[in-house]
Amino acid sequence: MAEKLLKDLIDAIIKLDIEKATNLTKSMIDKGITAREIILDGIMPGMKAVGEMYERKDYFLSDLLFGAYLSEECFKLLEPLLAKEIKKVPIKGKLVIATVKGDIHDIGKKIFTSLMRAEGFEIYDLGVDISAETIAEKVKEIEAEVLIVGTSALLSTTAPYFKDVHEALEKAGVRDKVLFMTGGPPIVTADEVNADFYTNNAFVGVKRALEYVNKKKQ
Amino acid sequence: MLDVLERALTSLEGKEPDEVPVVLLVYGLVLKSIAGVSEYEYYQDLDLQLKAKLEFQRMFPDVWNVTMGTYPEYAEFVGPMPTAFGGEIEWLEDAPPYVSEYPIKEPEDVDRLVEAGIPDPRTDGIAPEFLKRLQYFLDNFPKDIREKYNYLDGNIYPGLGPSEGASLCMGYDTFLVWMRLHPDVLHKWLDLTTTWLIKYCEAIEELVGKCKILFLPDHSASMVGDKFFNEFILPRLNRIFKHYKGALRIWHNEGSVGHMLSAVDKIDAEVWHFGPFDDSIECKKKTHFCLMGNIHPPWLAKATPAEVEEACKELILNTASGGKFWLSTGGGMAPGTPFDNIRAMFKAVEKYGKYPIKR
Ligand code: B12
Repeated sequence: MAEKLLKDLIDAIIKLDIEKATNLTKSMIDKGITAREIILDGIMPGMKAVGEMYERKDYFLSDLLFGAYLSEECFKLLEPLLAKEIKKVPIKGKLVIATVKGDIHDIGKKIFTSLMRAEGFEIYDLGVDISAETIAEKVKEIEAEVLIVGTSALLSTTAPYFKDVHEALEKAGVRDKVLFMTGGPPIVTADEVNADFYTNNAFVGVKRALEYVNKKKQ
Repeated sequence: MLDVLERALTSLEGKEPDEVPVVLLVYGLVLKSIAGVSEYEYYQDLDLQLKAKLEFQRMFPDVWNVTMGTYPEYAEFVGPMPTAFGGEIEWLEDAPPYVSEYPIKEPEDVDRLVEAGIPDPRTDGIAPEFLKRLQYFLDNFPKDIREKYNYLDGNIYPGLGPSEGASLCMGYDTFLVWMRLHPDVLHKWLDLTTTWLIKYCEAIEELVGKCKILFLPDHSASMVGDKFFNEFILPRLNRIFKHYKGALRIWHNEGSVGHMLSAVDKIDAEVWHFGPFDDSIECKKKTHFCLMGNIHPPWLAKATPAEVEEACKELILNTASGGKFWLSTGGGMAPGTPFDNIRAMFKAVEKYGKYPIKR
């Protein structure tokens, strides 16, 4: 029974049917299926499929963002359960992400964030127009085996600021403990700003993050 | 020999002028370097803006810096609509301002705003200050340049269009999510933003005279598929464009819409300022527009003049035959774009852009 319901949930998420997805989540809670299962075998694969459809251009930004919204609504229903469950949902790692100082473009950042959430990362989205120091402070505060710092910039004037983020991370003594990724259109290279990685494709970014997780595990 | 305006207008009609016209959008991000100031200072100082724009025109007499590039800059892109409806903008030191407080957070906010009636662009938000600055430009822009390039007079650029302006007032993600979550509310909101925008255009017309050129940026088409485009975006764009039928109407959207060219073709505008992610040959074949584009701005800022010449050559050879083509960037102009790269665009026109175009 659980298997069928989980499959239906994945299907509802793929079809972006919010009513069906939330109703299914509620009825699974009532039937005693764990939040862990609902998340790992329902919401996450559903959202991942939505991401893949976006990549194939079967879905557009409005669809991807609605998928993320819908998943969030399901998560909210599961929150009380999650707090009580002993066997926690495993997280693959933590992502601190921000659009850098002087820049307010955040659509691409949101895409990357929602894909990373679907892969099981815990997200700390600091917002837009964020200083290097604020990013470094947050990174220092967070404890995690796998810690990724993502910065986004779309302006030629702000992309070079990635280098300031690198320096602030160094100054805070955390630079070598994290994977530092940058994204946005090709204005600077990773080398130019001392980042570990640059991409203008959120899916490539996720792939790189997962490789990092695997490397850390070894 | 034609001047650039004649060239552009001939090409617009699907005829071949003497050579491919170069039409650009050059504004603060680039012009601040001519003025030698930070962006914040640039926006605050009208006189400096005017001088920088004129200096650029003197450097490049064969560029048509159409409408947006010759308007005063004062949060004109993102400011007027959100502040008219009660939102706030924040100024940054070396970047243009952004919307820091959304007027729309909940669906009820739309009802509240509908009930409050249409804000008056002459008194509400940042628009009045902008109109004051526009009057200053009208009073001080040299007559000869104004006439030669058809600048300011009858030119209307009201900032972002009805759907993207609506997004600015609530966050782009909320706007897109509400297409499914609260479609009726969104329709109501879009009707209001469109009505306000027309009213704002009319307030601008009171200063610049009857509309001859309408420049309307709206990128929301690139964020949806054709279903939502047809339902939410197209009707509002066309309401404004049809309001100005007879004028030269330019739709600026350098985001990709290659997935729905036949839908986009229904936009009632003459020119589409298109982006580097759409194929120029396809766009020309499948739409009615005179295409303006589409060299990638950040690339242009970093490429060598030889590379720019090569890219423009390809673009010209692929797209310029039969007119309906203005050579431009696919969007604006990135800061730090070397002027030599603009010269390289002209070199490409000189070598490959004389009509008839030969492959
Ligand atoms: C929408 C938009 C806006 C909206 C932003 C809304 C928002 N909330 O984000 C508004 C209207 C507010 C805006 C404002 C401005 N904009 Co703007 N904007 C755009 C536009 C049309 C689309 C950008 C976008 O969202 N693309 C879609 C997303 C999905 O792409 P993306 O961000 O690259 O993200 C992808 C990847 O890069 C990656 N990614 C992104 N971040 C990250 C991070 C990590 C860690 C990883 C791994 C991956 C990753 O994932 C995404 C999916 O693959 C572009 C033009 C264009 N077509 O690109 C101009 C553009 C970026 N803007 C530009 C400019 C100039 C401005 C303004 C200065 C205009 C003005 N005069 O006011 C202001 C700047 C304000 C500021 N201080 O930042 C220029 C930049 C030129 C340059 N090189 O400097 C562009 C290129 C347009 C142009 N003129 O040519 N803009």
